Amino acid sequence: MNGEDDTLPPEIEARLRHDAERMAVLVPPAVDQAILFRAQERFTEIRRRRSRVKTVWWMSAAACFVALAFLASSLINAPRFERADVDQSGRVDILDAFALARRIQQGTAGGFDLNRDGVVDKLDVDLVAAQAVRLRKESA
Amino acid sequence: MTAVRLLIAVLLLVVGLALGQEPVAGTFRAVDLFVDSGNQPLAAYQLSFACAAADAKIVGIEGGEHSAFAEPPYYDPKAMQNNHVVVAAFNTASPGQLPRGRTRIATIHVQTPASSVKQYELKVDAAATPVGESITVKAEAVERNAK
Repeated sequence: MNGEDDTLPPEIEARLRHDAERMAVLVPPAVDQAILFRAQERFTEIRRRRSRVKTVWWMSAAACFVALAFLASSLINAPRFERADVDQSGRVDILDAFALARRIQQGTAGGFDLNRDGVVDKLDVDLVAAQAVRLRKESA
Repeated sequence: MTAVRLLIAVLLLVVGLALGQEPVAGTFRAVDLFVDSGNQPLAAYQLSFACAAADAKIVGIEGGEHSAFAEPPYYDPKAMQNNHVVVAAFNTASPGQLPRGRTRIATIHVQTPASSVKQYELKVDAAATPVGESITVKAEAVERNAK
C-alpha cells in the first residue's frame, strides 16, 4: 500500500494459517439449515425472475411482430384503396371506374395499374367498379 | 264398421299427402330500375337498391333497355340471396349513343314469400355525363309483374 509491499510476511501468514486450522468452527445444524434454506430461496427467486424476464421478452417480441404485420398489411391495402379513388373525390364509386376507362381511352391512364399486371386496362377498371359496388360488412 | 275404417284410411291418406307436400315457393318479382337524366346524356350511374322485406332475396340482375346499358351492371355477387344490392354501370360512348330522359337501366329479380311487403328503396349514389361531370338524376323502382 502506498508503495509498500501489501503481502503478509511469510512467518505471520504461516502462523495465522496454523491458528485457523486449530480453531474448530462450530455451526449449529439449525443455522446451517436456515442458511441453506435462504440460499435455495434466493436462487429460486433468481431463476423465477430470469424466467419472468424471458416471458416478457418473448411477449414483447410477439407483440412487435403482430404490430409490424398489421402495419405492413395496412400499408399494402391503403395505397390500393386510395389509388382506386381515381377522381380523388374521397370515396370510390362508379365515377372512378368511369374516369379510369376514359383515361385509358385517351391514353392517359399511366399510374393506375391497380392489379399490378404491367398494363392499365379493363381489368383495372373492373377492380375499381367491384370496389364501388362492394357491400359493406355491416350491410351484407 | 268397414265404412268407419275406410273413412279413417282416407283421412290418414289426405293428412299424409298434406304433410308430404313441398312448402309453397316464394313469389318471383321483376323490379325495373329507371333513371331519368332529363336532357343530359347518361354515361354512368350507381344505385343502391333494397327490398323492405328482410326475407326477400335477390336472385338475378339483368341489363337495361338502351343499348348503352344492355349489359348487366356491376354488382357484388354477395348481394345474391340478400335483400339489397349496389348496381352500377358506365359507358364511354359519345353523347349521341347514350340515353336521355327516362330509361330502364336494369332489372332486378327478387324472390319473396307470398305475404311479403312489396316495397323497394332506391337511392342514387352517383350519376355522370359523358365528360364525367356529376349530375342529379331521378331514380325509380317499379315492379313489373308478379308470377
